[in-house]
Amino acid sequence: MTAIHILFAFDDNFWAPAYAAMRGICLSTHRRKDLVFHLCELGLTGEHRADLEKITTEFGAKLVFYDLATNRDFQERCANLPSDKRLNQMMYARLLVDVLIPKSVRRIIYFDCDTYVRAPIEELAEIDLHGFPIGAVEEPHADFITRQTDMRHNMDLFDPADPYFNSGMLVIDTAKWRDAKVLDHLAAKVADGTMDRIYYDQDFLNLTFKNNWYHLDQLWNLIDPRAPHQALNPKMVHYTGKNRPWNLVSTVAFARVYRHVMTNELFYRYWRHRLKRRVIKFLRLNRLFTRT
Amino acid sequence: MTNAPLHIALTFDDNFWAPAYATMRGVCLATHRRKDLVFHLCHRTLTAEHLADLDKITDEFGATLKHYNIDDMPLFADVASRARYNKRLSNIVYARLLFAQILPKDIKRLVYLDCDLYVRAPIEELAEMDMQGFPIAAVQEYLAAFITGGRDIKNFSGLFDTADPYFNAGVILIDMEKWRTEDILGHLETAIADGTMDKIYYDQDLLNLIFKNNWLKLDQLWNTIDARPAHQALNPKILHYTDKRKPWNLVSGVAFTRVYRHVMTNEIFYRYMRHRIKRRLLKFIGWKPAK
Repeated sequence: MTAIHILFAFDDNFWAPAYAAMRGICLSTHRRKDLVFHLCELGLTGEHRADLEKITTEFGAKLVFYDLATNRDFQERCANLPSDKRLNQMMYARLLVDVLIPKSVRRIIYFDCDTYVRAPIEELAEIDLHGFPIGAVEEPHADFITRQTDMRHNMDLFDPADPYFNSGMLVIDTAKWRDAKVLDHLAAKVADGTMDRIYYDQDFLNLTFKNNWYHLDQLWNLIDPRAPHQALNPKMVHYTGKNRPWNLVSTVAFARVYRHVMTNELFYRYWRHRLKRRVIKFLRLNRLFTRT
Repeated sequence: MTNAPLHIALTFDDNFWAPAYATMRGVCLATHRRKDLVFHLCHRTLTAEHLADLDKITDEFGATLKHYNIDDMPLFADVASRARYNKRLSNIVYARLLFAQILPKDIKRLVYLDCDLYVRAPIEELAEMDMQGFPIAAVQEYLAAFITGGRDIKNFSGLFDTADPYFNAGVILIDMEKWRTEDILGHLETAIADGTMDKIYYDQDLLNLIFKNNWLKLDQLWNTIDARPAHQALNPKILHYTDKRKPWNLVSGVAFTRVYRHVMTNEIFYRYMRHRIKRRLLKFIGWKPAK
């Protein structure tokens, strides 16, 4: 059996959703041993790395870690790119997939960490992309993301009649991705100011691959999943809303089963992790406040 | 891009000018063939201000607007006066039964759209689809059993079998040549004369009687009835706000509420709100407009 390559990019604070996303994929396929997870990470602690490695123990899937902070290829390419809240290294990891991942990988499937895959992943690994460099799902909220007030914003960049994809799941033909010279395109868009006008990397990818992507079924990336969607048996749900499945109380689709996919131990540990972060943040703010 | 015109018909009165504008603007935004669009607007007399609003569609997108003032048509006044009055939507609902009489004879394909729609897909996908020889294409109405069967689904009119598929008439693709040969007006006259019109749900029921088992079923996403937020994820092609909650209400909870306001444009959205408040107040104090 040939390997199935999957890509995630996350920082330490997202290790638990990344674990749940991987575990969902493993649970839904018989080809667990063919899975190769390429994990681009920033600042992953030893404890959290050990959590992720349980995927190998439980399912026999392979994990390949890429520490972005020390990856020389990656850092060289990023050196001349801006780094701020909008444009950061986490985002560049996906764009640089062709640099980071071994050339022998011909197809890789990228997932955001706030996804839950419920169908055999080989369906995506083997789908015919009809010569397109990527396969993706149309974004139902494109009208608002790109056009905004009175649907008149950025009309020069995005014609509402052009389809626009959600970039939370991408089936990537790595050779064609390389041919698209994504990084050069990004540098050009930074230089001419386009990047200041658009919605992060999703807009950028839509500019790069405009009318050059294969449409996958909406059920492969069901945006903002709610309880009524459960009956449609979606193949992948994408928790894009503020309502997250790892919150203690959540009304999203599959909220309960998600906790079990993440496993209860990790679910509650992740909850404590976030609580701790919030408290620390709060205290810092407090100190700042008293100083003035 | 081909240059074949895409004919679209809307029917509305002055109080619905703003949703009609939003429906048209949605169509324009979602297609590259903006200049091929020909909107046939069958409406009652409109104020100059509202006419100017509608003309913005031409200014912004280059689409063509054709106006048909049905108040100037004795035929419509005659039919509307004899058919049962629709309290919610007024007699304007009967205008679409007169397309053969009102619209130019050279139209081969026509897309009829209600005014409470948000169109999100290229309309040519619908307008130019293969109709497989059927005179019309539409989406099945999920509420059919209740609409035709009434209380306890006891088939109150005796005219419909609930096992026959029944379509929603809010989005209809029409082969105009076949529509003309159906003599819709003749069917309406007969239905008025024999009392059928008093027993049925206005024009939608009549169209379902005329085209019974003779219509092409479209994918449900072409007319997403009672559109709610959960439908958004399905990327529907047309949303149909059939519920009492309408996207032009300040708070509505329907699908794509926020985007709809921007499609209508904020200026018209809030002006339409003031228009409705004013009407309600005038109605409350019992003021009647001069005829």
